[in-house]
Amino acid sequence: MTTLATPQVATRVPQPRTVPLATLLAHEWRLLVRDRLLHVAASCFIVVVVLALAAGVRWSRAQQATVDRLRRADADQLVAWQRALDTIPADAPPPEAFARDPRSAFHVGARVGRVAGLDQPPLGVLAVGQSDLQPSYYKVTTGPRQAMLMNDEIENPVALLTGRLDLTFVIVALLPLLIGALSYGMLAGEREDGTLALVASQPVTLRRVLLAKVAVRAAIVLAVAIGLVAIGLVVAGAPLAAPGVATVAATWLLTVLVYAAFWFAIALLVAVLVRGAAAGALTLATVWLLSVIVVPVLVNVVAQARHPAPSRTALIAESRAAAAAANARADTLLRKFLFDHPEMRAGASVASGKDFVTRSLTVQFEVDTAMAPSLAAFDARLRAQQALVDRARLASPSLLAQGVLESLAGTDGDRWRRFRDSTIAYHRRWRDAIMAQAVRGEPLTAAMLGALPTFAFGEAPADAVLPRVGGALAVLVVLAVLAWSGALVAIGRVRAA
Amino acid sequence: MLATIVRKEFTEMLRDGRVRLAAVALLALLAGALLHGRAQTRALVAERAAAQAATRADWLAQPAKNPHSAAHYGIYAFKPRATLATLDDGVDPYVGVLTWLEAHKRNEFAYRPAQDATGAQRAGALTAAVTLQLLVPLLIVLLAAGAFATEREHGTLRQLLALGVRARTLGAGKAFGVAAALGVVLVPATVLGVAAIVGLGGDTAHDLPRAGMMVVGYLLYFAAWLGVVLAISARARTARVALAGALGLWMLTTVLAPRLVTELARALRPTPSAAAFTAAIRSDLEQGFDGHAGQAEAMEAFRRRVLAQYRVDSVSQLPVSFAGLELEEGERIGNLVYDRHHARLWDRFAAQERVRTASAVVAPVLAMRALSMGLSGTDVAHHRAFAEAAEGYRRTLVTAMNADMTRNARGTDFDYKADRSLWGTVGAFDYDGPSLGATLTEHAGALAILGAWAVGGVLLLTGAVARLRP
Repeated sequence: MTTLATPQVATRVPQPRTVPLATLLAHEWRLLVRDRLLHVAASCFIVVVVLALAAGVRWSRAQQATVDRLRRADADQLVAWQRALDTIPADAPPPEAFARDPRSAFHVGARVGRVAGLDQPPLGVLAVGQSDLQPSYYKVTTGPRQAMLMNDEIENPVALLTGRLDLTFVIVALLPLLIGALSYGMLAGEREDGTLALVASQPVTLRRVLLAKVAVRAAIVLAVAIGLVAIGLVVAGAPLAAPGVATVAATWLLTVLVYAAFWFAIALLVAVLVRGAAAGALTLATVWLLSVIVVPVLVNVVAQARHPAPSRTALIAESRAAAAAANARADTLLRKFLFDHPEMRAGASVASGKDFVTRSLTVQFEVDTAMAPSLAAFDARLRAQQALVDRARLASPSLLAQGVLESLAGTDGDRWRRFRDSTIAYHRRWRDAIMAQAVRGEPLTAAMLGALPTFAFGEAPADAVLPRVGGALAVLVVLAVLAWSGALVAIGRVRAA
Repeated sequence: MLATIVRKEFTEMLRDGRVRLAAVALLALLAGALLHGRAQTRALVAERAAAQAATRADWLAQPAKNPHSAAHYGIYAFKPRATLATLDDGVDPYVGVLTWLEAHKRNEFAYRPAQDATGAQRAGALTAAVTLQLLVPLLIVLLAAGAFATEREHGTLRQLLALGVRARTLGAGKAFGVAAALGVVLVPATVLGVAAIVGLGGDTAHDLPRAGMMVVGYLLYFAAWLGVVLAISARARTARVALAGALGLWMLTTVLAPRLVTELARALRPTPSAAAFTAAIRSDLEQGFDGHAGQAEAMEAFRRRVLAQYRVDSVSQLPVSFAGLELEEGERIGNLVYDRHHARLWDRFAAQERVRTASAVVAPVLAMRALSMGLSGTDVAHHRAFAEAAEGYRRTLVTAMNADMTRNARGTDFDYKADRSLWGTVGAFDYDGPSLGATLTEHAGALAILGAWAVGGVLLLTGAVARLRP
């Protein structure tokens, strides 16, 4: 330290060995630990992470419990029916059309039906995502497909509007704030306090000092963001041992790492390029505001303007017309149906087609068939809009990260759409099986009940999501690398004064 | 003196390039939001009018058929788009746009627009309300955080006080100066807002007082932010600390708090699952509730009651159609059950809203949002009112069908066909939303909290200024 007092001498003596990195890090650590801001910001963040994890676990468990309860009720119903059927003598009079009787195809297939349920994804605790808007179960009956898909989960719309406090929100929106809060005064703070000149006089480059500052902050932030989440996943009992799940969880944490790296680079850039701590804080807040709020909001407006979602209202009018047309031709429909389905013709009773049950079933069948092209066109238009939004995610690192994190958690809607599609396929199988029973007009037996189609969701392997997020993750990596390159170049221009 | 300070503050702010940029960006966003909202309103109003006319035409065009078949065919009710939703579409994207009104069943609203969107769209909608609730406070932070702290840092605060400028005058001058600068954004914003809702075919007598109340609410909200940020600036040692504190407050109260409070509300007052809700309704219908008998038993008792009333031994001797009476009795019992469960659900949502409003004591944006949605006609209460009106219409329609059947279907019951003229005897569905008074009562708490925040902001500022240290 004697060199400090006599700088003229210092220029003449050979440069002393540069300050070891360990010393720099230890020094920075001591400074940070004594900073009240770190304590406040970090403890707030830790509390929020724990709360978000708890909220995710609560949500995921409640969803699963509902689906489990419905499945149990379904299974119990089937057993009860089969027991009842075993006790009904074979020569008992056939059930009336609307009787609550397990022998009635109408009762079993149209009134009660079955449940198609979606299990929670293994890492569902990481993101509520779209799962609060998309029902995780459907009641499948012979009724029209559209009516089946109309059934939504109940939720206070204000809760849907606000969004949930899940880990993905914490990472996407709050992690950059923590990084900003810890970093905005990194350089300007020291300059304003007058300590920067002192630091610059040490045998160490400012570049090294700044990198040490970032390293210590990164260690703290990542310990919380990644360490705490990893521990949380284990504590919450996520099925990490299941095939592929650990890889997906690791990719989730990797995404957090890349996203954090991006924001550290931005913080470093701002620290170097913007003079004054207040101006730096303001600049960081602006970048955050653009990435987290303004750009996503603009993306939505552009998507809606370029690819307006088709109107559900118009679709209803169309299905209404289809129903009216089908009703008008109800008498001839069954003949047409049997013509199209020769396999069902064999046992068709003479009476069928006249009674209300077969009549309404054929009408519903006709409506579904008539509406299929419109529904397909509708879905295609929705997909076009969604594809546009997916491309537009590139405009904001936050949107990009949110997409990757929700996809990896399995709650981005992609898995749900596959579930909905299998439910639609199951609905078709169920309807056809019940139709076949109804046109034959013979009462159901225990064996027939057991042979009715059951729902199974062809769950993709856990790591099948990885290729899907690969592109977005790669873009995020590129953004982080670019930001870091910029920051490293800019660091060279830092002046102590 | 005061005028000089106000003029100085105002001029200084307008000379700041960052402030100018922020103001222009904010106005541009606001204009975009209003244009977008206006286009949405135009499209939705037209779409709904067409759909409502079409469903009515479908109803009237039914051939001669059994009235109960007609009741099953039913009619759709489409949620109207309020003119002021142009400013704040509130929960509209998150509630269904239509409901099917049919015999026996109270259906839920279907097709929430947000379901047809991607996760990216959950990140936020561009509305004037979002711009005002989130971004204007940020502009206030930008304008006001340095007001005292920068002068303190530069040493000019000491000079000012040494010149004999009274701290109170200085505080008032800063506040009015920032307010004047804010006015440069807010006055055009108000003009834009009014322009956006003119000519949309709305009922001016209905919309204007609501828009006026909205202006009052937002002014209270901005006053609260102005007072708090200036108070922070008056207490902070440096501009950097003042800015960090004000930004931190903004983030905690407007970004984090709404979600945190939503989780809290869900935890304190859990939302039932749709499965549990429908199961409870089905159980009440089949097994009875609260001393009411189950379906089979109730219908049997009803049969005996009717026979006794008409003093006959069997339903075939009745002068009316028993099937019609039975259907109406089924509706009556069903309505009791639906009312009970729906009221419970709405009350649950209302209880969650109370948690949210109470939390506005720490996060004023929650009160502002509730009030803004309420005045725009896009809050849960307005949705509830529409849902109840639609349900009321369903009952009118089904009862009219049952009454016709009771009168005319004696002996023929379900084989009876009503003349086409019957459909026109049920008037079209006409809906008027809750009055301004009802909305203000609903959100009295939010309004009171906003008022308290505004007063609190001023008090905080006067307190901080009274102890102003150079």
